[in-house]
Formats: sequence, C-alpha cells, structure tokens
Amino acid sequence: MTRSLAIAGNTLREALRERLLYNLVFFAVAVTVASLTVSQLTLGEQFRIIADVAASSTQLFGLLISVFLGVSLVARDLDRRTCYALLARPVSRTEFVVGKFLGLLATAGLNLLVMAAVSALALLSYRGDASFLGSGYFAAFGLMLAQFAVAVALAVLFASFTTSTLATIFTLSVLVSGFLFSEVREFWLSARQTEMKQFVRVLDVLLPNMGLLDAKEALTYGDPVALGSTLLRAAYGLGYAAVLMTLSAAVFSRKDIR
Amino acid sequence: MRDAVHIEGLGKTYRLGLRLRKLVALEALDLTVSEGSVFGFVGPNGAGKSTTIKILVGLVKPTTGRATIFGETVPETQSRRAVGYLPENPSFYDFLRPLEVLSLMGHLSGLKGPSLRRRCEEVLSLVGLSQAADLTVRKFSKGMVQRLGLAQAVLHDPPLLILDEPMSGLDPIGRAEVRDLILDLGRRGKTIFFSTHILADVESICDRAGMLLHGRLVRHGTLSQLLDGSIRSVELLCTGLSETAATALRQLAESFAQGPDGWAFSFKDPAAANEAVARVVAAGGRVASLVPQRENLEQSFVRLAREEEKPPRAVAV
Repeated sequence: MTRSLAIAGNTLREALRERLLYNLVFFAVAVTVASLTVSQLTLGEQFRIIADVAASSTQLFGLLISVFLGVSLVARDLDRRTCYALLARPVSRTEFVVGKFLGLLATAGLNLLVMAAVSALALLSYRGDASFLGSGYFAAFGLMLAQFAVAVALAVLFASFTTSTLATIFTLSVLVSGFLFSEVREFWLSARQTEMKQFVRVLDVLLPNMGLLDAKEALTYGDPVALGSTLLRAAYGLGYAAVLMTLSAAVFSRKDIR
Repeated sequence: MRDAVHIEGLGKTYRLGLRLRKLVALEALDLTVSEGSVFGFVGPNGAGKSTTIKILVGLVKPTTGRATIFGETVPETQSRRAVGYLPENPSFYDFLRPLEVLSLMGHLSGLKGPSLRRRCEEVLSLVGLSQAADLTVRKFSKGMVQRLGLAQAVLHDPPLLILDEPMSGLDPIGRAEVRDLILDLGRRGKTIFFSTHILADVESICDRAGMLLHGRLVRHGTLSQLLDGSIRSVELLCTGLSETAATALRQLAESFAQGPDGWAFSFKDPAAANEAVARVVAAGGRVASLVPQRENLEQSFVRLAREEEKPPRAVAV
C-alpha cells in the first residue's frame, strides 16, 4: 500500500500540473457564476436554475477531467516510458494501477471540493442563508465522487490495453451508455416483451448505473436524502470501480511493457 | 560463488498487429552470470539484448523458459529487490527535480526517512548532478538524464545492476566517467550485467561477455575465451630501406604502403615477418616497429555476425 500511495502522490502532483485540469475547472466555475445572471430570466425558479447549473457543470466537467486525465496520465507513462524505472522496482503491476487510480481520484476529489465550494457560494449569494446545505447538497456532490471513481476506473482500464484515443472513446461511450441506460432500465425491465429481457438484464449488470449515482435533483428541489441511501449508492459506485480496477490490474499484469 | 542471474531456455515471441504477425525476439537463451562479475551483453540493434533485460526486470513476460535472480524466480516482485535497472534512453517525470525523482524511486524500493534523503544526495553527487539539484528534469540534457538513470539504479545499493546501453547519449568525458563508475562498482563486489553494441566498452570493463545475434546466444565466456589470442597478422614498420630492398620485401608481404616515415608491411605468416626483419637489417634499414595483430572483440563479433547471417526474423503467419 505504501508503494501505491507513493505512486498516487506522484500522479496527483502530475495531474495538478496539467493545463487541461485548470481549463475545465475554469469553465465549470464560469458556468456556475454565469448561472447567477442567466437565472434572472426566469420567474421564481432562480434557486433551482442556479443549483441545477452548478451541479450539472460540476458533474460534466468533473467527468471530463476524470476521463481525459485518467487516459492521458496512464497512456503517457507507457508512451514516454516513465513507468520502466518504476515497474523494475519491487512494485507489482496491481500496486502501480491502484496508485494511478488513487492519484487520479484524489485529483477529481480536489476538483469536486473546489466546485462544491463555488456552488455553495453562488447559492449563498442568491439566497443569503445556508439553508440549502442539507442532505440533498451533500448527497448530490458526495455521489459525484462515486461517479468520478467509475469514470477514472474505466479510463485506467481502457488506457491499460489500448491507445489513448480509443481509450477515451470507449470510456466516454460506456459512461454515456450508463447514463442513458439508467433512464430507460425501469421501462425495459418492466416491459411486457420477453425477447429482449435477457439482453437488458445483462446490460443492467454490465453497464454502470450512473443514474443511481446522480442526486442532483435532491439539491435542485431541496429534497432530503437518507444517509443510508446515499451510502448504499456510493458503495455501489465504489464497488463498481473496484471491480474495474481488479480487471485493470489483471489486464496490466499480462501486458508486455516494451 | 552463487549465480546472480540464471537463464534457462528463455524465449520471447511477440505477436504484432491485427494479424498477430510473429516476431521472434529471443530464442532458447541459456546464460549464467556469477555473483561479482561484470558481464557485457553485446549484439547489434534488434539482437534481443533489451528483450532479455526487460524479461529479467519483469517488464516483459517470456514465451518460453525461465530466469532467476539470486535464486528468486522472475518476474516475482521479490526478484527485483536485488536489482538496480537503468533502461535504454531512460525517461523520468520531467516536472520533478532530481532529488524528487530519487525520493520517489527510493520509496518504491522501501527506503524512507532521513536515510533516504541522505542516500539521494549521496548518489546525486556520485553521478555528478549535485549542481543540477534545483533544475527540473525537463531542463536536463540527454547525458544528465542518463546520469540520473544511473543514480536511481544504484540508489538502494542493489547487489545486481542491469544497465541497458549505459553509455548511450554521453559525450566522451561522460562515457569515461560512467566507465569508471561501473569499474568502481565492480570493484565493490557488485554484479554488473550491461548491454551495449560498443565493443570497446566491453573490452575495457568486462571480465565476461555474451554475444547475441538474431535472438540467439552465439558465444559466451571470459574475454580471453572469446578472443582466441591467435596472431592474425604482423605489421612491420621500417625506415632507411632502398627501393630495391623494399621491392624484394613486397614479395613476402600480404600488403604494403610507403609513407613519409618509411615503409609499412603486413605479413599473414609470423615466419615471413621474421624473414623480413632479417632482410631489413641486412639491407642496412632500421626496424621502427614490429606489432603482432590479434583479433579484437569487434573483429571477432563482425566475423561471427557474417557467419551467422540469416534471413529476417519477421514471419507472416
């Protein structure tokens, strides 16, 4: 674990030097701040617009950061051969992959903290009090970390065996499918047609249920979210990421680094 | 003396592209490197030297055979504890400073605390990079990166150093310094396994060598075993010879040349060289030098390479 943490620390340091990270965080902040003005175009729904835009931009840009940094930092280690001297030490491939994952997740977590704080400031400046800081707020932003964990794990998995372009395409495809499938899964699973049910059930297991990890509405509408529910949903996301990391370690362990 | 490296029937076949084209990089390699020896692994580009080294340090999985390092099976993590590895054209995180690179590598090798910091400074000084401690690797020249590579290889004081082309990218002074460093490490009892295609380095540093061609080990042993020591020709340089005497000597020689300092003759047969010396003295000339020419490693290697020439190894399947 010490070795994984050393690799994680270095990965975090590397990620924090990426211009892409700051560009995307800048856009996310800009969109959230802009929502203060744009929301004035609506009647009586200003809080909801600000909350929705802030949470959505945090989610979108956070996922993009997780995917692009996840793929590029793993692929770069292989392309530039910086991993040679590391992997020739008494470090297992699993420790290396886990270290990369933890470093990238820490980067996504830092970005999330910044965005959650900016969102809170935007909402505070509109409402004038901190009454929105309830379970909905913490569930919405907390579960985003689980979403980022899934995104990072997918990026690391694909980057460990294919080119960075293909890894980015595959990761984004699975994430988008995960969001779309969660929209229609209830309908498909309860539909009367039986022909597709087996296929739908397989997809239900394979694809990440990103909808389950999405609690933006609780923040937007001020709905309370039970702690147990949040923890269970977070456990699903982290468990899914753990399975992906196990797969990544297995794939990367068989890879010839040449 | 125990074996530092023991390799049995090691082979590697890569599968390339969508059609899984076969590329045999290494074929049934058997090799043993004893503890404390300085072993030169020579061969042209593409001979399989780096593949062998990458198998030893766990970067590449062998297709056949097995290897051990101090008795530990490769690629078990345990086998790499005793190894310091310098990759060919090493690359490090370019946003880090050299001490930060060494600190990361030290942590991965199980070093920590003040002793790690002390050791990092020590090895940085050993490779002559103390002056560059405040620069990031991005600003390093190729030679400086190579030195940093050597520093991280010796950082945890491993008993076995595996160096892939350690002289690559260094200027003549850097090469001499690295050569001295390797000799010094060898004197301190380290086992050194290094690959190169610069044969003069092997002759000046190694006590044993192996020649790899087309993925196969063609010769292996001590330098005196590899260089058979027999006289290939004798070079005679003489002065004060008349044109007539020189013409008479030409008939004995394999080749000759007239220079500003006199005549140079090359004799294939040492007896002919002796006869020539007697004739020079009898004709009133002076023998400036008489040098027997023995085969050096480079000539031996070129000869073997020509003997072993075979079709390209890439086979479409």
